[in-house]
Amino acid sequence: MNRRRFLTYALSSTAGAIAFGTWRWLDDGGSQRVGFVPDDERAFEARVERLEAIVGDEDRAMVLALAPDLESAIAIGRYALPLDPSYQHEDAVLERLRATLLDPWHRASSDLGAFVAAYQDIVARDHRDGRVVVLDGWVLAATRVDVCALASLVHERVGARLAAS
Amino acid sequence: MKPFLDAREFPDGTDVMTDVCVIGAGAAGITIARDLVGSGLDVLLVESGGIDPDAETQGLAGGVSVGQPYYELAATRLRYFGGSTNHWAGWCAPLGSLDFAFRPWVPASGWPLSPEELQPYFARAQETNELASFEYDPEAWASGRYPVQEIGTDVESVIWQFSPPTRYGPEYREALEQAANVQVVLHANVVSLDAAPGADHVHTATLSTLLGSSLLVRARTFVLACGGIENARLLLLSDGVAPAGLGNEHDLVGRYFMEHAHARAATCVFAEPTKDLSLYTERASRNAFEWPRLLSRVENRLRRTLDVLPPVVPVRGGLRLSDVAQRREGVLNGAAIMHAIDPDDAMTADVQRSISVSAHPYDDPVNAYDLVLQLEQAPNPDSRVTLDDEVDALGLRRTRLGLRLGELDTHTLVETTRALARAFGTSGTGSIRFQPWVLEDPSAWHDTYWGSHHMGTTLMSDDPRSGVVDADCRVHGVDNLYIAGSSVFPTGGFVNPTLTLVALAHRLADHLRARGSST
Repeated sequence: MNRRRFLTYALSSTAGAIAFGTWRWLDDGGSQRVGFVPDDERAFEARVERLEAIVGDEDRAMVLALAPDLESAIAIGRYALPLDPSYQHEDAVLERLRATLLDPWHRASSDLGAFVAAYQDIVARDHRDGRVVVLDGWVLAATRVDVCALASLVHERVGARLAAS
Repeated sequence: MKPFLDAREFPDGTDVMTDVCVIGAGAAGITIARDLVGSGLDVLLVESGGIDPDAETQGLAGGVSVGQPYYELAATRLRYFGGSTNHWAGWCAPLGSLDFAFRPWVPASGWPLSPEELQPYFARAQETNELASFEYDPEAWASGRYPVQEIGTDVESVIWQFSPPTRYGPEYREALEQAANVQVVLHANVVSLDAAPGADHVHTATLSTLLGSSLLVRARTFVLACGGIENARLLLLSDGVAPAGLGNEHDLVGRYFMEHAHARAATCVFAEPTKDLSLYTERASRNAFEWPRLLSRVENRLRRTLDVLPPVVPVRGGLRLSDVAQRREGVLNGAAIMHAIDPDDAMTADVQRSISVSAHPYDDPVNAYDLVLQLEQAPNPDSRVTLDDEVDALGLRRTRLGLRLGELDTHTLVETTRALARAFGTSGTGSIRFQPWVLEDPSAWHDTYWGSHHMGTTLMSDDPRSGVVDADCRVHGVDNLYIAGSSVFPTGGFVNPTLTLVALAHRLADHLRARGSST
C-alpha cells in the first residue's frame, strides 16, 4: 500500500468509526427513554395494539403498556392484591386509573408520548405528595401499584398470554 | 536525634518540669506537639503505651457499657504511640456549615466557632492526614468516569477523601525525635491532674507506670488529648480538690457522649440499572494511573516534596439530605453510603424492572445497593461517660459508658430514609426499600454498627453552664488546662471526626504558641 492509499484508507476508516460510534451513542440514548422519541412512540403504539388484542379494550391495553416489563408488574401486583379490597376488582382498579391517568390525558392530548410522560409525572407527584404504597418494604407510587395490580388481575383472567406479550 | 523516654526507667517519684504537657499521643496530641516544634516552649508528650501495642496497657482502656449495646470499650481505641490512628480507616471530610449552626430542632446545637474560623486549620489538617487540597465539592471530583448523581433538590452528594491512612506514630515519630524542644515519654499513665485550691489552676499531673512507679510533671500548661472517653474520665478522676472532678462545676463532664450510628436502613435500585455509580460505591482513585496503594503513596510523597502538584487521593461519595430538607423534616445530619449487594429475592428484580427506563428491562443486570445511613447523634445529656466502681490495673475507676439514643435520633433514621425514598421516586431515579426493622421497630436500632467515633463529653461552649471548654478549648474556670480532640465537639455531624479534631488541634497549637510567647 503506498502512502496516499494508506492515508485515504486510514482517514475513511476513522470517519467510519466515528460515524458508527455516534450512531451507537444516539441509538443507546434513544432506547433509554421509553416514549420520549418518535421511534419509541411507535413501539409503544404497537405494544398497545398487541395488548388490546389480548385484553379486549384499549384502556386496559394503554395502562398495561406502561409497564416496562409485564411479568414483573404482575409479580408486584400479586403483593398488592391482599393489601386492600380495592385492589381485588379489576374494574375498580381501572376506574381509579381512568380518573388519575386516562381521563386527564384524553382531555389534554391524544399523543402517546404525552401519555407516557403524564404517567411519569403522576408517579413523581405520588412520591412528592406521599401517595405511596409500601410493598415488602419497597416504597412505590400508588399509581404504579395500581398499574401492577391491574396487570395481575388481568393476568388472572387471560392467563400466560399476557406475560408473554 | 534523641530516643523517646521510657517512664518505667525513671526513679520512683521523679519530678519533671516543662512548659507544655500534652497528655496522649494520638492524632490530636501528636499534631499539637509537632506544631510546637521550634516554638521555644518545652513540650512533654506523655503516652500511656509504648511504640508497639501491649495487652496490659490496652486493658486500661476497658470499661462497662450500660446503654445502647456497644463494642468492648478496649476495642474501640488504642493505647500506644499514635493512638487510634493505628487502626483508623482514613475517611476524611469536614463538618458542614449547618453542623456549626444553632438548629432550633436540635437541642444544644451550635458551635461557638464558625466554619470560616476553622477553614485555614482544615487546610493544614488536610496535609497532616496526607490528603489532597481542601476540596469537598463533589463536582470537583466528578468526571465522565465518576459522574455525580442528580437526585432532585432534596438530596446532595458529599465527598470523603481518604487518608492513606496516616499512622501518626510511624509517620511523625522522626520529627518528634529530632525536635530539640519536644520530649516524648512512653509507658506513662496520667492518673490525676492535681489542682491548686479553688481548682482554677493545675500544677501537676501524676503519672504511674504499670510497674508501680510514679512521676510528677509540673507544667505551665496542660493539654488533655486522650480521646472522647478518656478525656472525661481523667477529669472525673481528678477529684482531689473538686469532688465532682476538674472542670465539672456544672455537672457537664462526661455528658453528651456522641457516636455515629451506621444503620443499614434501606436498599435501592435504579431506573437506569446500568448507571455508573462508582463514585459512590468504591474508593475511586484520582491518580492519573491506577497505582497500587503503595505506589500512590510514593507518588503523593513526591508531589508533596516537589510542591508542584497537589497529592491525588481516593475519594468516595455519599448522599445526604440538603440543609433545606433537614430543616423541613426536622432531622439531624446524615449521609447514605452505598454498598453494592447481590439481591437474593425476586421482588428486588421485579421492582427494578417495573421502574426501568431501559428498552429491555429483562436483559439488564439486577443492580441493588444497600444504603447505610451514617447519622449524626443528637446531643443528649443522658448519653454519658461516668466512673464505674470496678478499678483497672492502676487502681483507677473504670469507664462506665451509657450511650443513649433518643426520639430525635429515631425520627432522623426513619424520616431520612423516607425523604431519600421520596427523592428517588420524585426524580425518577429509582426506588428504595425500607429494611423491615426500620418500619417495625426503629428505636431498637437492630441492624446498626458504630464508627468508634467518640465525641462530646467535654463540650465547647462560650457559656460555662452549657460547656466544659471555651472556644479556645480551655477548660472553663481552669486557667491552664486545655482539651484537644473530638470530646470538645458540641455536635458531631455525620462525617468521621479525625479531620475536624486535627484542625482543632492545629488551632489550639497556634493558641498555645501565641500564649507562650506572650508570657
